[in-house]
Amino acid sequence: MRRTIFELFAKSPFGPLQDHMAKIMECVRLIPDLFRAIEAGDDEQIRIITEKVEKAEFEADEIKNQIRGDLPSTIFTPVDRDDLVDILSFQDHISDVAEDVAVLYGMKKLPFPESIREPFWGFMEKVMLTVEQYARINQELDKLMQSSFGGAEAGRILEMISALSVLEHEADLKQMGLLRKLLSLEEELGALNIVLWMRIFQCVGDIANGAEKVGNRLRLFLSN
Amino acid sequence: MIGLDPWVLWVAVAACVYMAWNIGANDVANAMGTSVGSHAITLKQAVLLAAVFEFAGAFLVGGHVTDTVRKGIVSTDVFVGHPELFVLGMLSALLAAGVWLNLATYLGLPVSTTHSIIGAIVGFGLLVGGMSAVHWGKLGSVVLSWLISPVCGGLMGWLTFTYIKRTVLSRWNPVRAARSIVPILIFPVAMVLTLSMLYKGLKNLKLDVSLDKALLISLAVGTVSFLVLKVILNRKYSTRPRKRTDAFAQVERLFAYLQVGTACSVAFAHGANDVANAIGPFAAIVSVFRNGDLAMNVPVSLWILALGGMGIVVGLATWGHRVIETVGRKITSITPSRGFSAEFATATTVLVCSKMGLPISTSHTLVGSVIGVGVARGMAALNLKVILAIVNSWLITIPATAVVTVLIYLALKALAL
Repeated sequence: MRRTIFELFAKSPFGPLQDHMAKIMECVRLIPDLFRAIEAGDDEQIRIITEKVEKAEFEADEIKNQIRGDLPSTIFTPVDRDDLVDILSFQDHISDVAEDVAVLYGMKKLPFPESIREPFWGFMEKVMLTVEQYARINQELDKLMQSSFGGAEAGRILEMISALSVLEHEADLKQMGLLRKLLSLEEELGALNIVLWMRIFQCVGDIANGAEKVGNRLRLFLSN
Repeated sequence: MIGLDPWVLWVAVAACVYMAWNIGANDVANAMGTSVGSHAITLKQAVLLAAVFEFAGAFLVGGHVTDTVRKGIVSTDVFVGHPELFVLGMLSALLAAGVWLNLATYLGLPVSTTHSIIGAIVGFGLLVGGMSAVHWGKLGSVVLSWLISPVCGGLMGWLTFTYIKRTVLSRWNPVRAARSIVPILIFPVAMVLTLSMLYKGLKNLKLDVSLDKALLISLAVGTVSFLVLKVILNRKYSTRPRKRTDAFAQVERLFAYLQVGTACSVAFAHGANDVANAIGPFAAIVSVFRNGDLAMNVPVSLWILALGGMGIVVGLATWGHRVIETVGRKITSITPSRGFSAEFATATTVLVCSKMGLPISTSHTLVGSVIGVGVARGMAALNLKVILAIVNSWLITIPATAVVTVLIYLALKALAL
């Protein structure tokens, strides 16, 4: 059958881009659970959650590779193909840093002092709000495609991206407060533990940073 | 009388019906695939609409392109005194195009029936009559139309979709916008279709309508279509738009109404242009048999147009519906607003070319139109490698069919003379 002209219609990358983010959220949503287990000192639970995080991160990677494979340079997309590939790797970065949190904690059993728990949870909450905000933006991608990346739908997304930036800034502020508190515990924790906690908190903060970065990148879809 | 056995005529009938069958079996799917793919119409509706409008297009407007194929490419002057050579040549061209189509299908090349038949006719013209036998000017304009028609389709597809984007998709309430724009869009669709039927179309039925009369009637038909669709949409969708989340789904449902109209137009345009690929050479053969010489100034007989139209419908009924189903299932990414834009662009381009007697490829025009919609940011992902495959098939088809024609011609000549 001579129907090869219909090879013109290639697989849409937008649905898979949403699947990818869903998998990443599966990974990121485990991070608060991980800290609850750390708080409770439940080593078994920590191990189980760490494994789940690694599995979800691996699966997200697989989706990423699949999408990249479906986007050879002959594929013409309504948005710049390079931007699309960037969005994909920025999204992927979010699950990478989430995994780093679990991996870093696995290096050395760290004491979780009572006095940093409250500022920590305040920080964690803002980070999750930020990344959930991006996940909501990502959920709009199909509608953005249907509306052809313009008009009212694009306006809505721009507003959501602005809100995302505000949330990320708030998470930054919480992170500062948390670090200040952490550094005051030098006597109690020792320099090494403090450095490790700093790196872990940095990775938690990078989850929010990553969400903001990919949100800003998405703005490029909406221009013109 | 020419020194040819009547069996030559029967072989020609068979070859012509086979070619028409081929067009119905494969090419109609290319024309209707987008409508079924977007779920604007069901497979059954697609087959029914295609049957009616392909036949109508072939019967009413098919004559223009048929004339080009039968006497526009190869000059009959060089065959004066040897009409039998002309008959054998046209028969060889018909057979060669059929053979090449089968071969290309087997190889999976996106070959056009139009290009095959033109290549074949040029091949025989060159062999028998030499350089002077080919109307190079006419051939040049045909080849130029192969390049221009996809570009034209692309430009119109881009314009149409950009208009829809501006007036509907970008709005805060796209459903309400669609309810007022969709009836407006049926106007040009109905008008173009009616105009192409009436103007120089009904001549076959001895009802010659002048241009201004045809324009007036098409304007009326367009207006009536507008009013009918407006009433339907107001009655069916008078409720306030539901949740914003399914606003775009609802918009697409409204555009599905339009795609019924463009599906008819594409089928009509396809019948009008592509029937010539089957009956062009056949009509040439018949007129020689009937007149005993090369008097080609008589119009294409109605029964030949009907034969071509029937062949297409039979191809559609026996095999084409399956191809449409497969194609429709394969294209899931196209929605009615995009499908409408691409089909409107394709139908209009092909109809204009048909009226001008230019044999073009409907499929390639459709590819151009879809890419035009894509450039307006309407398609999720298009694989542009197809363009390369199409250009390749152009470069292969013309010499390949020419060579096959020469071989068949030499064989037939040895047999028949």
